[in-house]
Amino acid sequence: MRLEVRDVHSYYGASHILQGVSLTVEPGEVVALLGRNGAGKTTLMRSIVGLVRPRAGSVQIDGVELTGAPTYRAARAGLAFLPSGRRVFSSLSVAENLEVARRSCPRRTGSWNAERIYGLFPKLEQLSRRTAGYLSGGEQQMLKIGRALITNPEMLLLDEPTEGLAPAVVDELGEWVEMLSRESLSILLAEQSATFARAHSTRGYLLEKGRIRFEGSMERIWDSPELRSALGIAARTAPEAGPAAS
Amino acid sequence: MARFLTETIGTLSDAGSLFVVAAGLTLVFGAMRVINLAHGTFYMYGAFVVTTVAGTASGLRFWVAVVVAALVVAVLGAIVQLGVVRFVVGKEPLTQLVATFAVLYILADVALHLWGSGARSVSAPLGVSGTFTLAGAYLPVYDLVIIGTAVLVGLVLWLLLSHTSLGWMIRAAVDDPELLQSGGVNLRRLHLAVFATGALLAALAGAIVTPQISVAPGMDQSIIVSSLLVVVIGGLGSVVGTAFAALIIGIADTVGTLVDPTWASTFMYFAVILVLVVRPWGLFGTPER
Ligand SMILES: Nc1ncnc2c1ncn2[C@@H]1O[C@H](COP(=O)(O)OP(=O)(O)OP(=O)(O)O)[C@@H](O)[C@H]1O
Ligand SMILES: [Mg+2]
Repeated sequence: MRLEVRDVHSYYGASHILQGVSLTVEPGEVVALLGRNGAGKTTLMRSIVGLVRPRAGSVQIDGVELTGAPTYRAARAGLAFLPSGRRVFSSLSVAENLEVARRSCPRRTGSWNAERIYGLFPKLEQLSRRTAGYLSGGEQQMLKIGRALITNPEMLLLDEPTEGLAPAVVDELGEWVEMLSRESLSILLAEQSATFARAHSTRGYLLEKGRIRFEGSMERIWDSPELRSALGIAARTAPEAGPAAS
Repeated sequence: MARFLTETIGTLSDAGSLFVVAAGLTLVFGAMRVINLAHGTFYMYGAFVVTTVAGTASGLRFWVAVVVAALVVAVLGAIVQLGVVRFVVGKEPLTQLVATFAVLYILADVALHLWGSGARSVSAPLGVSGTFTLAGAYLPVYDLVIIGTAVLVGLVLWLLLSHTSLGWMIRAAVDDPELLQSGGVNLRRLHLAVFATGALLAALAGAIVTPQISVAPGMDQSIIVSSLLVVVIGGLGSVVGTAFAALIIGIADTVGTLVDPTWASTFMYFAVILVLVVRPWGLFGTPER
């Protein structure tokens, strides 16, 4: 799936949050969306899926206009948004969460079903009857990914997937991202700390105050002291892939 | 003993109809985060439609009237949802209250035109009218119909919410509507179904109690007050809580009436205050996150 965002302007009330953002994600590509606190990463993802209505600009997937469509259309078209934080249906069991997700996009078919998700996350199978609200942060992350995958999406919008995760879980998350990208899922990855994004994506956008400040390879972002400081990464320390520093 | 039985059956019957109304209110609140002040209107319309359809005949036609009332009012609910409530979902509570209060008033006027201001009554159909004796007490057979209806509604709702994927979807809407929507669910369609179901439950309760009450304007406002009390002490959005709360309100009302009829409603509010002091979020609700 190819995503094209063109000159999107979004507002919360009177505040002009996204001031003309353009971005593309090619089929099978993992693209980083970087930016500090409040830069507008989440707002951009919400604008893409229609949770925020852009006042101007357009969002297209595979050349088909998505701007202004109700949010459920994005998911049914194969665009899965995974919001940040502990977002699962907390009163439902793990198995019920997966079933609700599957039924939400009844016409999307593919290789992903509950069995395959339990294969990828054996932990979830053991916990399938547990109420999702009682899962640990890492387990909820698995369920969040499972809920998305069961709809057989073609693109994931991952908002701060590493937030609040233990380092070991972040490493695992990295492996899942690599695996999904090998299966030619496209991924847009929003991160505050560029370490995770750098390890798993090739190309990135740097968002600053609702505008794209830079677009290019992760190396370019990493090698530029100016961009690094814009991201709040210390200028001299050797970058290491791994858990977020902030 | 006879007295105790009479009061118990009477209380259960009152609590039963209150539960059916309040279950609809709590379902709508849970899944849509809308407090629908016009919910009592659906109860009143259910009762009025029965008086029209059943007429004075008291046979099979009564049961047909109950079903017709529930369905007609479900459609009315759908119209109210599409015409008004849809626009206030997600808005500030005050906006929702004003909008649904307006619906209450408008539909009350419409009812006045359709059915007049006088009281109307329906007699219990043959077979479930009259009394039966148990341990020396004379008990109205029709109370059992109401209790049975309430138990049935409770069971169906429980089965729906805990064992069907539609029910899981409704609970998911309670948990996190935005997540449900971004997962591919047409939330508006789900809201329409939930709101119509809520109206149907209110109408069913209004229809089923007609043989025991006089059907008249004002029913809409008195029932909305007691069902709001039930929903608040049960915990907004919880069906199990609603069942317990309806019982508590029913018992408080009965005990109050026994002690001193002029203080009955004071007893009811006292029960509410007592519950809310101990658990401000209601018996089965969850503290606001
Ligand atoms: N619901 C809202 N109402 C009003 N303003 C909002 C709302 N949500 C976000 N904002 C504002 O919009 C701006 C962009 O926020 P956004 O959440 O998109 O940033 P972000 O890049 O995702 O930040 P973070 O890394 O902290 O998640 C911020 O200034 C924020 O205060
Ligand atoms: Mg964010």
